[in-house]
Amino acid sequence: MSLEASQSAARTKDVLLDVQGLKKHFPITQGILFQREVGRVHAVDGVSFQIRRGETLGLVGESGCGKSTTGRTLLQLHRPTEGKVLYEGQDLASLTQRQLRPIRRRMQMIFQDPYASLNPRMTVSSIISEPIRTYGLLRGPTVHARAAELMEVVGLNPRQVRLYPHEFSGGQRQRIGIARALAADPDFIVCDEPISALDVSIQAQILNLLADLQKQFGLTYLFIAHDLAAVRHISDRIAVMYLGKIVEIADSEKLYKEPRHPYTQALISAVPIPDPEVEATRQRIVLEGDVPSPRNPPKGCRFKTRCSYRFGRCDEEPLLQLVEEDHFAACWLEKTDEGKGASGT
Amino acid sequence: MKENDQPILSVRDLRVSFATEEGLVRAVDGVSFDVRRGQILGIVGESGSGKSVTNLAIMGLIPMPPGRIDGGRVLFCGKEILGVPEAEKRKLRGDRISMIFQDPMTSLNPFLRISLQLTEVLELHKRISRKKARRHAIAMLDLVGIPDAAERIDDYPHQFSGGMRQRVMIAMSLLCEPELLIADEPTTALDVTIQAQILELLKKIRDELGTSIVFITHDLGVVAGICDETLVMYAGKILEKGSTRSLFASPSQPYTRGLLRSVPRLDLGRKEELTPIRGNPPYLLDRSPGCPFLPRCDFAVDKCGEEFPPRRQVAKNHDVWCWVEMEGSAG
Ligand SMILES: Nc1ncnc2c1ncn2[C@@H]1O[C@H](COP(=O)(O)OP(=O)(O)OP(=O)(O)O)[C@@H](O)[C@H]1O
Ligand SMILES: Nc1ncnc2c1ncn2[C@@H]1O[C@H](COP(=O)(O)OP(=O)(O)OP(=O)(O)O)[C@@H](O)[C@H]1O
Ligand SMILES: [Mg+2]
Ligand SMILES: [Mg+2]
Repeated sequence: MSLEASQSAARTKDVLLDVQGLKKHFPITQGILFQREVGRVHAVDGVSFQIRRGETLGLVGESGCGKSTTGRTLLQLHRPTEGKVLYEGQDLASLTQRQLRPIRRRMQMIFQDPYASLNPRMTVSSIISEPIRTYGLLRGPTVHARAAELMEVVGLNPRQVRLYPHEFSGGQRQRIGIARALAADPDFIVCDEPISALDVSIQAQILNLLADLQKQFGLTYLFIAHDLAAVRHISDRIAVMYLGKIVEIADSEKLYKEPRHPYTQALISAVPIPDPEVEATRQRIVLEGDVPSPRNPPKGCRFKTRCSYRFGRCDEEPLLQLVEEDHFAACWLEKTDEGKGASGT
Repeated sequence: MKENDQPILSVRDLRVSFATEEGLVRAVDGVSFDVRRGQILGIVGESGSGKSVTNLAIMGLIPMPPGRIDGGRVLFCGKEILGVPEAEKRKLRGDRISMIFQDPMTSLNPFLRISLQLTEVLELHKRISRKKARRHAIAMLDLVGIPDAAERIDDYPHQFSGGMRQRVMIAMSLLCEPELLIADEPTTALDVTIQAQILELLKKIRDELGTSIVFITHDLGVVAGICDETLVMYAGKILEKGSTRSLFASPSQPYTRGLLRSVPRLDLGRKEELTPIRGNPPYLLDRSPGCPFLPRCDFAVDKCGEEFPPRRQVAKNHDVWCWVEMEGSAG
């Protein structure tokens, strides 16, 4: 998250993960004995983006738009329906479970719900050291020493290693989850809504911790959340998802100051600002209606059913295109002819 | 007018506790506030601070046991409602006071068409014909922005999206045109674009129907956008209360200050690092006589551990409960 990290990443464009045309569809089946497919949830429906080494890519969008599915499909917890996930140039989608094993260690996940993601019958020490044992990173008594060390790294008291998850608060449990992810010594961590279950007074602690760890260990993050202010705080770049598609990607300051896609604009304007003076004078774009179902997404631009700029062209699907340096948007407003280059807003 | 000066709701020194296996939890510990007519009052505070219990007590919905009202008064239009018989309470609920719960599915019956659920409320409280009730219900669904209300009224709850169900809930709570609406985190489970719709709707209802609203949330941005006055709760106590503008402009309790400083703001430049509140949320069982925020407070003095501070006025319509007078409150 540090400035140097983001600048050097931008300079060298050192790509850790290159996602190409990724799709994940879930079949909807009917029948008891003979399950037949009656439809598909287009959870992730053709997304392409890159994550650079050492950066945080934020992923935002409304509930059900496919953020978690994207994260899980990157990690091969779901195998993609279509598309490639190149990790340091190697396509993970084409590897067998066995071939994946050594790479799995390098890619970890932190979950939203610190309560549900920790085994209640295991001590904190065994929870944290689980990846160490699974991947055979250390042996014998050093395993527990390492667990204690990791507790310290994430701001927990190492003397509490013998306690169980229920003896910790929500924020502390999230720290345990983070320590467990770190135990595998990963390069890349998918943080799936790591702060949304926490109290407001604790969220900043965890955001700061994640940023510190990134600096300390040179980690790369995919940070999934619906809280745009938190995402903007921690991310170098942000990708905005809508109904299985990425509609915009840009540097996080750029995205906030000059959003190009009408959905991004509405999303930003809907975020409440904790200042009554600002709220009193703010112009808000209130979107009509709800997000359509991913079982039967609209043809063409998926946002067209709620977009106030909609015109004839929107029945065709707009592709994600470069609108200025390092800024991509998928909207026909950007370009009504086929010529190259960005048009102004 | 005399009647309009009287608060629609007055809560005085309300105390509610729960007997749990680990011990007695003082969930609400001496809470007092007023809601004026046509006002939107916000209640903020972390999980477990007693926001919901306060409002369940007002509605007469505390499960007893394990719960117990240990004391206090709740006046609705000047009349005590805390100890009234259940039948009378039931008459108030849904008619003159109604509540929107955080999870719409807890108050909508999944097996019944919403038309039935909506008209039932009206028939019960207003004794009007089913036909008239149906017409009224459709008008209300229309008001809350359900498209094709006349047709959708015969759908089942699961046929609506989360945001629409929440709007159906709001429609249901407004059917009898209550004077007081208690909304317990009505938008927490919703996406921001849908939240924006619901907040606009609640403001419109207040403006057009004059409904007074108690709005519970943990989102300071939502409070800033919709509430005229705000209460800040912590471990069952009110630590600060006042007009939303004054409270945000000069937060005078270290907890309120800490909260406002710890949240990243989308409209300001990005900070290198956030300023969190240290420590962990309070554990309600170990209760000291002093201020519950003490273990996390950077300004504490000896007195803070000995006695809970009395109310201190910092500005017109802005009170704080804190022994320490902070300088340069603004900002
Ligand atoms: N295992 C699964 N089987 C079938 N459908 C699924 C599965 N996982 C997700 N989906 C569906 O795929 C879509 C995308 O879900 P996903 O969990 O990725 O959304 P999300 O953006 O993470 O949402 P949220 O913000 O609510 O976590 C949803 O319609 C969801 O119901
Ligand atoms: N039925 C109950 N039995 C025992 N304890 C209860 C019960 N209901 C509430 N409590 C306790 O009372 C305290 C206050 O709870 P309350 O639900 O009012 O919190 P809240 O401020 O609404 O929190 P949240 O933001 O999580 O909704 C909590 O410690 C809770 O555990
Ligand atoms: Mg998700
Ligand atoms: Mg609550």
